[in-house]
Amino acid sequence: MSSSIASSSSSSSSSSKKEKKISLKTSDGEVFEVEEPVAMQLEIVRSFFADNEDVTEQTVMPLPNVSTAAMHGILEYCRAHEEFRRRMPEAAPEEEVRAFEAGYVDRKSNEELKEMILAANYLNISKLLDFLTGVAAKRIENKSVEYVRAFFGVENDFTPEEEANLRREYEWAFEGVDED
Amino acid sequence: MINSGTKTDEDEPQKQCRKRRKKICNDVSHRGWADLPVELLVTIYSTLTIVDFLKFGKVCSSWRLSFSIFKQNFMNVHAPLVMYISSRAKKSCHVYDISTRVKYETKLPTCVGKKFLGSDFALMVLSKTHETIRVYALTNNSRIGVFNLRTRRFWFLTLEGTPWLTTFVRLVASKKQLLIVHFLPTISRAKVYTIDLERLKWVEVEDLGDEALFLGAWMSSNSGSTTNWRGLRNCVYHLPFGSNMCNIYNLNGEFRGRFQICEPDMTHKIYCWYFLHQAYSPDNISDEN
Repeated sequence: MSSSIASSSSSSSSSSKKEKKISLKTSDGEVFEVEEPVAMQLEIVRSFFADNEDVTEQTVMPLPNVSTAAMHGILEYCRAHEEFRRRMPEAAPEEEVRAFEAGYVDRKSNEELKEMILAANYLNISKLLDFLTGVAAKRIENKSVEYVRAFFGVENDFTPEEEANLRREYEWAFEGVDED
Repeated sequence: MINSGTKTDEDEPQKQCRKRRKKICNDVSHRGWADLPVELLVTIYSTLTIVDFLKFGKVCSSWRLSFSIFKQNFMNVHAPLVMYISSRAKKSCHVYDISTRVKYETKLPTCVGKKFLGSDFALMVLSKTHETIRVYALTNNSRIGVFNLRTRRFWFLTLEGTPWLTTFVRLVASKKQLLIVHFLPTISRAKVYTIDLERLKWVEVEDLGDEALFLGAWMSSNSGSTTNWRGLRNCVYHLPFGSNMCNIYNLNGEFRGRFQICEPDMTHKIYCWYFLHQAYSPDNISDEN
């Protein structure tokens, strides 16, 4: 699914007149050459190029809060959506989008998902952010508090007394959670 | 991807999740989410069910803080829960989520020597502009009494256009206004009013926007937004006394539909709405005796 999208997008870009590319540099120093309509889905990039008059096509925009791994995931998503938009500008092919998103997120570990949520938040891609936070919510659905802590890597900083009090609060909601 | 730097991070002991670390934290360096930007936490909250949301308040202290701040907003856009009690069971009761249709069981606190007095006979309204707290109460002859908690003065409002009301009437606080709901399901009649406090008159309300009203047989009434859980807007969700069904009416009292809360095999139950954000935890209630 993803490979067919990637190849079709590269073939369409080579067939049309030379497409404008934007260079983005991740926290670990890797530079990504990204097709302009894809890069413009990143609100932070769009406003950077819209607000700064002295930037040129050669400008490499640094993105210190985004790792290379997260960038790969983000571009895969944005490229797929750009492809959908190009093929059906009026209305997105809902079922295809859903199938792509399901397959896309299946391959992501919890840790990758978290990295990408932080990156999507920083890059200000609201569509991707809504989608990923929805996925995160789904993954902690009906899980124990301990699982939620482990999932987000958050430490339990309550004192034993506080915890004993918390345990009594809404006790009914915490019975019958799924096995971790 | 793995370098010696991440290795030392991994050596930090994390007792409670050590078993799962292998599975969850693979090659990417561990990143704490305790200080997750609040707006992100809220985005994640908003898609959760009530029960999953309650867990967020128990994760760590910083999440608990944002949980308490957003609890009100969260509950306003979620369907209220139904609590039901069998007359035979003295120790436990059930909580039912009408949007997910999941049932929960809970133990009742010891209630020996205490009596439930009801919850919707008077409403507390906080006026932000004057920083005064007023309690509005409805008498059985349709008069509205106001008690100012600061000045300790009590008076009745003299209002124009007082409608004829039976005793099947209650006060409901909506997001913007104080509603007086006159609801007679047995004869398919309903009317919703509010008080125009500037002109001192009764005004009929025909449109609640995306809100619905939740009425019980004799206690717990409220209103709430329906968009998020795809409930019916501008409607009354009614729990009739001793019935295992929830009936839905429009604001004129016409029947619109019904759904089941629980299996009908157990009889004589008390059914009431449970508005989590308005229920006080035992810590907040002091026993005057």
